[in-house]
Amino acid sequence: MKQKSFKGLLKVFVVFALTIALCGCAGDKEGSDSSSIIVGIPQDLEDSLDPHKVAAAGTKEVLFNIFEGLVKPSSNGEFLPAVAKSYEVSEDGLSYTFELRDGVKFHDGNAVTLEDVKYSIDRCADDGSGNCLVPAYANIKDTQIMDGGKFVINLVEPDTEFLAYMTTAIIPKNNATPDTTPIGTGPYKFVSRSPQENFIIEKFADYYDEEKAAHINTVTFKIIGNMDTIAVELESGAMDMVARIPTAQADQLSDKFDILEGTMNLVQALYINNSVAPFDDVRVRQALCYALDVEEIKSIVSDGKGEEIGSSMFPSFGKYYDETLKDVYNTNIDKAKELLAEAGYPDGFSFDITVPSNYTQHVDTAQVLVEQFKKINVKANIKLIEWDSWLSDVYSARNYTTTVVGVDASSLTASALLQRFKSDASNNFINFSSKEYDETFLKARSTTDDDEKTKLYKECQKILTNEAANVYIQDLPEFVALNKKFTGYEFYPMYIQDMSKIRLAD
Amino acid sequence: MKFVIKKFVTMVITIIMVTLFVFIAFNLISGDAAISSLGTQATPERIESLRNELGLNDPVLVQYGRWAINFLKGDMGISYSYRMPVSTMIMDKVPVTLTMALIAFVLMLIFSIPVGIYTSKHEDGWIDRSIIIINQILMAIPPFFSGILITFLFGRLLKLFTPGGYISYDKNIFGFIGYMFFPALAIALPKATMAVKMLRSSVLKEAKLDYVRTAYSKGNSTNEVFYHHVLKNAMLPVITFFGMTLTDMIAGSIIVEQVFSVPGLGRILLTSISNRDYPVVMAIIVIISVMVLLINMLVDILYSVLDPRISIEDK
Repeated sequence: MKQKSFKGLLKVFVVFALTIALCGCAGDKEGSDSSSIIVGIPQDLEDSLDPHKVAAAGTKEVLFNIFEGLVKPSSNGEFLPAVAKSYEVSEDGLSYTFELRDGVKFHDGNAVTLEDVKYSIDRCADDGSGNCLVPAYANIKDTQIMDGGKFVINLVEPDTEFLAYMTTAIIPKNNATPDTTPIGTGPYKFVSRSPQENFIIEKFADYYDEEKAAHINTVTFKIIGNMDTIAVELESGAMDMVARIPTAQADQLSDKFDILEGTMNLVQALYINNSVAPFDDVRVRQALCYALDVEEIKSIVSDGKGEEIGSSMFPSFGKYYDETLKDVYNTNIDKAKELLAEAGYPDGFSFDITVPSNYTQHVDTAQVLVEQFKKINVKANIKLIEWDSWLSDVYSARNYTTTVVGVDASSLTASALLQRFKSDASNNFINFSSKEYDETFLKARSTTDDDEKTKLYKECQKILTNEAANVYIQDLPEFVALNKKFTGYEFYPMYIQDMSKIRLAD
Repeated sequence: MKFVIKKFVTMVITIIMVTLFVFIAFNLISGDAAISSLGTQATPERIESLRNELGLNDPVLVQYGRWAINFLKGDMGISYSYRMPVSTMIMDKVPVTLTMALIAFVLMLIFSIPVGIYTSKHEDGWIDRSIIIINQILMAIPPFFSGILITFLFGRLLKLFTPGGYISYDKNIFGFIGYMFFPALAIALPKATMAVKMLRSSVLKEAKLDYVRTAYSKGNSTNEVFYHHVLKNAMLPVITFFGMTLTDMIAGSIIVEQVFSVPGLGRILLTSISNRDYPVVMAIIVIISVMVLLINMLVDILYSVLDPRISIEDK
């Protein structure tokens, strides 16, 4: 009797378990539909979906598919006309004229009007409570709607890089809830979002340019919950593509996947608070630069991949990038010790490296740095910190000694990377202060001649290197895993995932 | 009736205390929602204007009062990071976490009661001894680790499910339950082993008491004594344990959700804490606290039903 009841229960248990397990197997076949793709992203879009207010790079790279500006960046760093058909820049660099493209529609079906354009630009210059959402727009004198479908922006001071900021999304004036209902003109339109689960977009059928329209019908951005099972999820078909896949996971993938290699487009460095002793002495900062061995970091952190850099600029910026700067400080332990002795630290010193704990590659880099600095008798202690505390304590309050992070460019202009080192810049979180730099930067920005401008920006980079403003390390490599069913992925010089380029492989 | 009112009052006080503590804790840790959502684009002016917009510049108690009043009116507020109503954000996720906890609970019952009864009836047999040893090992494994083991065994070797291949319940309810079975198993295993141990020792303790001898002397068979007398009394402490376990399963699912990438309440709670998104954090904490308190109340009531000697009115 007792045996029977136990066995009975056991049977119930087994049947229950099997039923459920089999249910699970039946559900796996999803995602193999060829006109849809599932893209794994490491962080959710924990943000407003209003393109003018988004802050997180991870949100921007997804919203790139939904919104377009008067112009939009191409993968080789040029600006292609988008909502505008064409543009003209006056010779003095003070006025930009755009001609609206015919037949551009918003995702809600309404045609884009010049009022919408003016509304979008004006909103970024002043959001209604006095905030300028795009810092460069502080330079706008006025915006005007002209006859013949033209739109003019007049500037206070000449700025030949201003076109780069015209990627500001054009949004409809009458959208009452831009935070949660994104309506744009891009090749994809918003379908739905579920926090911590997914973000779904769908091909926009009325896109104005058939050649550039999207190929894949539905794109599901799936938030990766567990970074350690990425390879398993890709292999099982639960995901088709993952950008910035960790090398350990990429190594596990079978030949069903292409691993594409690019760079992350950021300046990874040991950022130094220049106003804190002993780092207020240029010789101490230079000593750290001489102690650095980038090759070792690359081989430990990223399988030897990555681009060594020597200043606040990375190779994707083409003509602005000066590759000679990475050789200014080649590893030289004796020289480093000499400089430390001169600065009054013959026996070294100790300091903290604050690292945001969510960025594995920066934490790993910091660990290698600690070992490298030991060789010059400098003792570094790693202090791990949550990203939000990093933002408030390190970035805003500048209450730190050194930190390892990657700084990216908010727009495709040299000034986006160099502006922050102006001594009075509000985002100058390293407290860098050099009169020479300030003057050179301002001159570079106001020059209208392109060659002269490029030369001056290079000069700025040189000052940063010579002053050893930071210990520059590398532009980290980026790996993209893409199922061989798909093709067409393109790397951009910015944080962008352009899904419209992806198509089915033949 | 008096009991219910009393319980209700303690429940309200508990929730006020919990939420107030969470609120104050939020104000003590560094970072705030404004800095968090502006990220590296933050300028002192923009932080200030966003802080004003979100009401973060008011004193803590004013902020708390405003939140509490709105919450009582049924308005959970708007998420600082997602900018969408908190209610729509988390109501979709409640069934996910709840289902996982319930499956885990059922699994625990199915596993622990028969095994517990078997081992206690066959005390010191070789099966009992080997079960005890396995039990002891399983008990030592925390859910997140058993989660990893289950992922490896059932997901990668046996390919019974796709690790990370969560299926939403509104898309395919069977697929959903099928996927949730495995995280639930991870949660259920350590709890079930504890329950086995508990039931076994509780039965053995009861079996030595005088009334058992009396029951035998009245002419009852072993099974009659066991099922009608011993088991009934032995179940009481186990039921308290089951009650505690259910609450633990709801509140403790956070880590397992992370391991199995289940987009439930736990994951939202974690990201909201790091975003300093307190309307979301508060709402989730209230939901979890209410569930925990309700289950505790249920256990109390169940007690008096099972054992007439215990009367809830006396407490």
